Amino acid sequence: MAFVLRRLMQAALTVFATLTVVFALVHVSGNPVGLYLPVTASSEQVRTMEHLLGFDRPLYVQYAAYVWSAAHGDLGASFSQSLPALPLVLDRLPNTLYVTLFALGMMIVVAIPLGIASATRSGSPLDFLGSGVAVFGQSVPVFWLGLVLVLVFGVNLKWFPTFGSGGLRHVVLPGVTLGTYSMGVITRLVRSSMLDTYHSDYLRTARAKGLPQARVILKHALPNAILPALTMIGLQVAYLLSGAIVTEQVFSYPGMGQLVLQAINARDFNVVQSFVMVVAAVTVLVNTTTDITYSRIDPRMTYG
Amino acid sequence: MTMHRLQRMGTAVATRVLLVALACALTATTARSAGAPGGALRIAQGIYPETFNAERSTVQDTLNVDSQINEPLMNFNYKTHEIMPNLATSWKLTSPTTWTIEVRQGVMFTNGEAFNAEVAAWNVNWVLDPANKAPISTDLALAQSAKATGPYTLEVTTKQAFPNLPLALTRVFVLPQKYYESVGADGFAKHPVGTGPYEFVNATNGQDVVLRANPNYWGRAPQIGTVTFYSITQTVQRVNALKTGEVEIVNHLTPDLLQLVTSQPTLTVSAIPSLRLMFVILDTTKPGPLQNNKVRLALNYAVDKQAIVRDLLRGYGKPLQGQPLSPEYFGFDQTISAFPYDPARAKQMLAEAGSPASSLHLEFYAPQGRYTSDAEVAKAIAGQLQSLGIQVDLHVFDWGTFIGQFVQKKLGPMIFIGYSTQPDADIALGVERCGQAYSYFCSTDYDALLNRADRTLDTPGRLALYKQAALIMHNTAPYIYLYQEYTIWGVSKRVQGFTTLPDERVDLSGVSVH
Repeated sequence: MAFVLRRLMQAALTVFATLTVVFALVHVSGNPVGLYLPVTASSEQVRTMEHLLGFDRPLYVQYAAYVWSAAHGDLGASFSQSLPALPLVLDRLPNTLYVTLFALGMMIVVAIPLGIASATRSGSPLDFLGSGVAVFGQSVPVFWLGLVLVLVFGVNLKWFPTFGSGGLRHVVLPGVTLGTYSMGVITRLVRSSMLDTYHSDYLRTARAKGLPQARVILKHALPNAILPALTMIGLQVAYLLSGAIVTEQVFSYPGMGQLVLQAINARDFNVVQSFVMVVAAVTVLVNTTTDITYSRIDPRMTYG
Repeated sequence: MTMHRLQRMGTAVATRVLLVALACALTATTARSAGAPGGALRIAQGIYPETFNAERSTVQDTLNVDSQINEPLMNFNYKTHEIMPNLATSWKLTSPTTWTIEVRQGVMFTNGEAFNAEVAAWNVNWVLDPANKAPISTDLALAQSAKATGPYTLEVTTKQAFPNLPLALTRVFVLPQKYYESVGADGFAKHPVGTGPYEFVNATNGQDVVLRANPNYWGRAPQIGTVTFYSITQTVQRVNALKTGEVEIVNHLTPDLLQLVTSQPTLTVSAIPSLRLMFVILDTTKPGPLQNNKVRLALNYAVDKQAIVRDLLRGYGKPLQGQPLSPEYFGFDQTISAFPYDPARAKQMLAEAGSPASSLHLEFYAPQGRYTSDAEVAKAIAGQLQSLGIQVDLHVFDWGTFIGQFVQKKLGPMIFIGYSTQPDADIALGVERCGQAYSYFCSTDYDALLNRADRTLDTPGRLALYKQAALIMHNTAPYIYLYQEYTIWGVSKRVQGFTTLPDERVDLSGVSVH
């Protein structure tokens, strides 16, 4: 309980610090008034709009006002849509989570078994496949992969839609695009971790006792070998959520990533900051869950 | 039958059921499959509507959706340059500062509210109220207030003679007053209501807006049952969606992708000159060589616009005729000639101006990703000037950074930019009045001409004044006059009756799908 409370306090501080940094960065890029006024606006109208939106105040005053409002649950309104910013972001969160979960599923269902198989059949074609997947996944550019997948499976074969959301079919191509890099990372990590563990004395003892190979791997080797991968999977969640920005843009997939990219281009500060807060909160939650799961798997780990 | 055998059978059945369910999920037809012939039309645009209140936006992609639901008081005819009746049926000046407007009778909003003069007046006053921050209010700056003087008659009072009020009212979209006041801006944003040919069904934020035909529309009955506007940000993805048949119309195509469309026998390209005019602003307001008129004129001869249009835009552009207007704009003067490409003359003029090419060092700013091939065009211009011996430092920014610096007057002295306004010289030429956000030029003579034109009620008189103003812009050359962009659309041959418009508006009257 003390551990959970301590982690929650750390999480709150992390989110606050992240928001402060992002606030400074987006505001340094300039105010967005020019984007929202027509070409026929006068310089006086520019100044009036800056005043109405509060951009003529010193940056530290804008920051203090933002923090005060945020502490009362108000993260401001979108300049372009004139709607509260946080609900706009949360409205898109489920779509991003579907793609992220698909990518996570690739890590668990494909990368882990492939890493294990690659390590336990070292030098075999399966090992080459696993190594190949690891290298390919970590080296191929996400944007290029997405465009190729759309071209082949969407345009030429017409197996999947080329844009938008609306069911499992819409999640497959963006999910594969997003998950390929992480799949490569986890495959490589599991493979090397299994290789380290596989030739340990205790496993040699287990095999000498006549235990089936599957039991040796799954019950004895995997719990030890999986720990680094488990930590990495937790860290990959942050990468997946932020990586969704590029993927969702390629597929015109209406998730948080597409929204924040449009908000960045439109200098819609409140939406950008709301996005950062949501991602930071989800990341901290996932990492905390990972730490707790870690301690369940490895009895050597205890959190005071 | 043994328990073990039963378990195996149960597992086999469960596995088959799961596989069938997965196959169904993967092959289920999506909502994007085409409806019955003529029943559904799907349009892909680059931007999702930022608002469903048409009076809060100037983004055409947004207005393309909103204007199907909420209509303006008047419409503009690009062929005749006339203002056409819509929800307003007639209008006249009853005093130099009063317009009397008759509105259409028997029109209902789709929620049953009646449209009348009181509602029309409320809408005009809503736009004029600074608290509502309506972008279109800048075009109505000379209007003072509106009031209903009868059930279907309203009066709009202006601060001075305002001959262009009807043109400005083509951008005032009519919202239902009672409904808007009861649900507020947030409520209206979730479910807009209007008098238009289509009514709102639902929207998925960031993805699509679904409209259906308004069965009680007062005008020409829509021929399409359901219209879906999709948002696909990447141009190449819009082309892909068109090729796969997921949509029937896409906008904002770029010349480099057209071959992907024209190579398909079921697709066609529709392209016409748009209202967007491209320039290089030459800052005349800050000390430097560009304050010399001859230097600015010389730069106009130094840029090969034909080559830019031919090679970078693949012919999808039209060089400007030496003025910040095109034939689509009321007030365009056919007698003003374009600046030809003549680098020798440019060099000579620079020498005569006391600023030989080799002595010039100019900062040049351009956006990226805002206009068609914008960064490439800017590089070409910089290269052409450098070939004369002028040193040009080119800086390319993303649009958000660029426009923020631009309105703060932090860029220059050369700035690549384009703009489109309502198709009238009063508005287009007004961009360069002293003190305007987009103006890096100031001439009291020029402003005086436009002020006189503002007050001139007869058309020939206005045209004569705009010609003088356009000549000032030609002779003082505060721009390098580049080209007029094209608006390029990809259209399925299943669509009949679709016409591309210079303001990139989507007009679905008369459009059907087979």
